[in-house]
Amino acid sequence: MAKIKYATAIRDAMAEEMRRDPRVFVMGEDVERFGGVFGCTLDLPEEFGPDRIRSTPISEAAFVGAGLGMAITGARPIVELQYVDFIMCAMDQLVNQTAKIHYMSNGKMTVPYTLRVQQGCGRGNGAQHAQNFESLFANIPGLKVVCPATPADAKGLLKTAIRDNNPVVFCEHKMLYATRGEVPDDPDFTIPFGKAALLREGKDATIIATAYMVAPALEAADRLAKEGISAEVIDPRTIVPLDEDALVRSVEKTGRAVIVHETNEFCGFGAELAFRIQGRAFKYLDAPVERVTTAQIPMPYARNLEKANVPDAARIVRAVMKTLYRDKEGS
Amino acid sequence: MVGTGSLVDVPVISRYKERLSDAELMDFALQLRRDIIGLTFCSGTGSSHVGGELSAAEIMAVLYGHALNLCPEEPEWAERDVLVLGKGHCAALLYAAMAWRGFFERGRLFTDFNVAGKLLQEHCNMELPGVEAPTGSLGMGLSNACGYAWCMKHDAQPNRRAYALIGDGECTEGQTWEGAALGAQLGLDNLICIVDYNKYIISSTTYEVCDLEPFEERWKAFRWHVERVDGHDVRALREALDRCREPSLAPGCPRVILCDTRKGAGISFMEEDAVHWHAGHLDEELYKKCMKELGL
Repeated sequence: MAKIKYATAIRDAMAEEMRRDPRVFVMGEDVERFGGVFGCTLDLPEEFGPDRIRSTPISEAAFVGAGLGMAITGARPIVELQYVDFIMCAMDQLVNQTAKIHYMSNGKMTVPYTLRVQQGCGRGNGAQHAQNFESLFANIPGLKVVCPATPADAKGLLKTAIRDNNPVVFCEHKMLYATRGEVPDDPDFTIPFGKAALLREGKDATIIATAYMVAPALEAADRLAKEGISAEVIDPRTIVPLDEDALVRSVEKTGRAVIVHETNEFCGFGAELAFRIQGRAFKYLDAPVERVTTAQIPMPYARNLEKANVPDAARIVRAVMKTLYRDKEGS
Repeated sequence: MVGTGSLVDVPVISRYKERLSDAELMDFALQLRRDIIGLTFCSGTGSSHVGGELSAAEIMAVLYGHALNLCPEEPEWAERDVLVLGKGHCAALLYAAMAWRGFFERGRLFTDFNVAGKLLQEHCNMELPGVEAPTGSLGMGLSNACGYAWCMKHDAQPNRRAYALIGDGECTEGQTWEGAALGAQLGLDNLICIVDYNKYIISSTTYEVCDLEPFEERWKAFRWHVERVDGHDVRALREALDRCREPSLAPGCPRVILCDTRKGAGISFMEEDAVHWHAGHLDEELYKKCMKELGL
């Protein structure tokens, strides 16, 4: 198993799937030169040529829509959006067209379409370049929504996305591209959708986190362990489909749940998870479900304000302490 | 300030006065170039979008030094002209012109750019008095300028004009052409769009990424009055802007001035390798090399 970067894992997943299936194509802004903004298509143009990897104009509605056209005529497009914020120019193509065509054609059309988006805070990119839209995407029937936290998950889940016959929004986090981790070399390594990862076992509380929030969740669990509190950490990995059973099983064991996400609190996917947990595990809960999220504000540009807005280990510890009715002791 | 070296001594060769002569406009453009290089060197993030800022230096000089009717003491003065910088990533160029015009103290160019808590952000923002629209999301600027122009018509303000300075990359966004159609439909002959046509989009030429030609015919087909000039010729720019301000020129038609420019203009190594100078970092050696090319 090689230890590689998250960005490299994404590139390798695309390369392997392009070798495996000649119907896989890549397009997006600047993907032909410099490997795109985050280097995820580095060296791919040399191997696959301009017929299969193509830079597009600054025209999100056009190339997101073109991806749909390709998908319904038998190709398996991977479309890269430079920043997720730019999807707003193409929401009609994504929401009214791509997500609905399978249903509106009475199932006659399939849309094997992977939309890779780069999102998240951490670089002081401000209100229009640091958003997280996984909650928004998850609210659209017909879209699958993936949020990988590690290089292995990025590779295994992206390969599954490319092989899926439905539109998948693959939410990469810009602060994770440079992180490294062990990734299986097997070209058929895939990770199924709807299967959560149990990252740390515990018995006193369950912390649920995805993507860039996994690291502070694990750090919080470490800190809690020093206080004698045993926290379980679960990463759902895909918001749609959701491994609800894994979350419920964990809460049945611990009796407490804290949900962490970088997307905004109001109508964030944490609210949906909390509802489902209380619906199925109400009698096991010893405290209300807690959420640790970004506030209902545009992401601030100033680094100190951005940092204050994004969940960190200390906030997660405090939330767990609150579920234990020990919040006065929280750090 | 990220630049660890020292700024070279930059004499101020242009100061605000009404209606600069062509020779004075050229001096102003040279000063803008020097300021852009200085801003880039002092940037808190170590960079700016220097290539597209240099390509539009003469355009900005003629706008601020000749065309725009502004009042720095009262940035929201009701009789002012409005400039929307569609290519909002080139904010450093706008800041240099605004400092020249007196919207803020010139020294802040070299202490406040891209520095947390300071005045000048990489993409322009209305927090800075005198900036008319928060831009940077490409393609939005022309539609915003349509709104300004429409309000000027609605409020019967015949002496005011709305300007949009946009990039050629933005012209690959569908939104730009929706704005063009709207402007014509609303009969906005008080709207002047200026396109910095430097023929580069971040990683490639416009011809490779999305060929805009026949560019003039496209705008004409949208019922715009079209001018095409050398975007580094201050006299040609000044005369085109003067023509476009005249309501009698093409009543009911918005105006567009397509400016043929060179990305990185004025700095030879940037012009020769424009694909790598959309945005860039200048260390002290490169900074001094640039300033030498700019006569210092």
